[in-house]
Amino acid sequence: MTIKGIKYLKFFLTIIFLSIITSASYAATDCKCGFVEYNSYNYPIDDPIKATLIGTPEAFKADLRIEVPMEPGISQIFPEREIPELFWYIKGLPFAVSSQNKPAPIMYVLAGTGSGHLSTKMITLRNIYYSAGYHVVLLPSTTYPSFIAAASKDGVPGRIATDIDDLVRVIQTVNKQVSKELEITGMSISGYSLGAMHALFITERVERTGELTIDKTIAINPPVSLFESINVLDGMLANSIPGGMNNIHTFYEDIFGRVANFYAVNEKLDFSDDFLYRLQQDQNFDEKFMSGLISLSFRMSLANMLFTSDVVTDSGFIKPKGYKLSPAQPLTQYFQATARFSYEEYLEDYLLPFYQKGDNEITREFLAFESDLRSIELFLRESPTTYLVTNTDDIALRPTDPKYLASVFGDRAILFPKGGHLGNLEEKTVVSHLISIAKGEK
Amino acid sequence: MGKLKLSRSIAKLATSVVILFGVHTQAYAVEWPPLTDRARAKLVADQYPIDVYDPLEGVNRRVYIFNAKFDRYLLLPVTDLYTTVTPSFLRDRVRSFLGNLGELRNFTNSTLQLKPRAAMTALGRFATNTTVGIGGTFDVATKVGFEEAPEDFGQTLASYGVAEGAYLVLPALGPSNLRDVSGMAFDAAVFNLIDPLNFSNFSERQWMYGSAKGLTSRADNAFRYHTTGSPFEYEIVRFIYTAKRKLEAGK
Repeated sequence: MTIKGIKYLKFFLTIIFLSIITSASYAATDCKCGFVEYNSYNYPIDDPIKATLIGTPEAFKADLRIEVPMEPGISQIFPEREIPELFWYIKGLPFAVSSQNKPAPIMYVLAGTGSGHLSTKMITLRNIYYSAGYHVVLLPSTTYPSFIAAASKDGVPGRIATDIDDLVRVIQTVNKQVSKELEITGMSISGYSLGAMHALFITERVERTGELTIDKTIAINPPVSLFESINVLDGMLANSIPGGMNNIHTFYEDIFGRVANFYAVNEKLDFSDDFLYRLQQDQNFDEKFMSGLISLSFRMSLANMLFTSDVVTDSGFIKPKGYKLSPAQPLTQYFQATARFSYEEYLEDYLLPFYQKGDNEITREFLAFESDLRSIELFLRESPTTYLVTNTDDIALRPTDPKYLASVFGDRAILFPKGGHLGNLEEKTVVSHLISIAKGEK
Repeated sequence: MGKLKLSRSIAKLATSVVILFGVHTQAYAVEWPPLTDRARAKLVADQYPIDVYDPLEGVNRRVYIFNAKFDRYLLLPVTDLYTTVTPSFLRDRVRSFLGNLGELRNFTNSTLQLKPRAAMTALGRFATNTTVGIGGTFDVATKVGFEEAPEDFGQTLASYGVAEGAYLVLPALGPSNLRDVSGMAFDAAVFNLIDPLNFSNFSERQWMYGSAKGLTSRADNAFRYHTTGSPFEYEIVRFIYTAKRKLEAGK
């Protein structure tokens, strides 16, 4: 653990260091290859970890206080499916629709790791695309428990190929459902983080298969290599918990203490990758604590995802195979145990063996390649309607990734010099760029 | 004498609750559902903050499920109706009015905890808001810098070293624990003794007061069941409630 930990720490520090260097040099050179002019961009947080955690301070936020109507929806993707009794409250795949009340194109928005369709970032994107004149449909991530239980064919999320399979099916089904109410003039797709990666892969796939016709794709802060990004998150957690993983409960205690403090002032419970959004404003966090929080919120998402998946598939990973849980049984020990699995363990010990059962040719290298934008690079280079918006200091990217993305997407890429992982999503310049891309002004 | 009867019965109820559950506070065994060896091997720490003393977990979880349904099919629709038909100006007046009555509870408990400053604040706020704030419908005191210092008998008990006891999920009301339930009963009994709204002569006011209180607190609470996306929501809510009460008691 410690050797690995040091490796991660080094890796992580290198990322930060290089991001600062690269962003500085990008800002200095007058590059025409997708880097925007930053004159109007004055996002105030230079530290990518702090940016990721805090987001956009109020004064720098775009004015998105428009009235956006929204209806909740539920879709039966597999009408025959019996969801385990433990998840009695999952009645299908939840989504949300915002309608323009006139003929308009529709935008499908895909959430990031562990997030539901109503996460803070999803609501921001809803407002952005609604302002740009779209009907907007918000979909939960493939890694969100309700999605796993109601819409995932295999019940084991995190493999891009099968995630995409599920999402195409979901978009087709939901689109059929909402078409009854809306006048739709075309379909576009967007997403953030893992959802952005999904959006890019979906676009590539349906271009080949014709399952959907996608007019425009907007990917916001996607990872380049999913497996590498996941390593970063594991590493962050290992490095930011004082005393290492065996002492994690002390850190949990610390965090939950602060979270509870925050919630004492009445907040919505939303343990997805953005639930820390406003927490920091309330308390003073040091760097180590902040990276601990970011990685822990991802770890919570993982625990939710792993346990849900294990129950749905009856894989016998956390609870013994064949054992049926009732909603009245205590789950505390499952929570304690599941939260101690890393993303690495999820991949190596859970996801990989699961898919190897169906096809023993599948290797880790194969899955890693499948989950890397390089595997669809040719398409991304050529597709004139696929756009990228990201930050050169995104903590989910490796040092070389920003340059790679800029070269692949060319003038369809916008790279901001700072903002961390989605920290600047609500910033004025970022929002106005997203709106003009969506409107087709770029 | 409805009010005396009521406070007596509440006191009796509280006592029996204490006797019923308070005796075996430490020795309890949970019937954990089984784990795989792989998962069990992960349980190496001797303590986890997510652990909360919850000997009635089976019952509590059933009540939690009941509450989720009750919330969805009754409480939220009624609350939505309330927020739709009542202008926010009016709702603010109701909130202030109820909050002003809450100063009586703050005053009693600050006094019992020997916190003269907090007691004076509560009294001052009550006096100001009842007069200048037109019967408590306007919270003038906060505007001039006298913020509420919420205190209840659960916190008073905590300040005298009473442990929280078993975690309880109350029907319709949600998370609590033995100490806080007793506290609620005590505060309600005191409220009925003071009887600021003259329930003894206008019994229908009791019903109106209860409804207004329920609607206001639900409308102000952003929590929605099963939106955390976590299969461990029960545990998370339990932990947060417990930690929140610890923080409040520590103030």
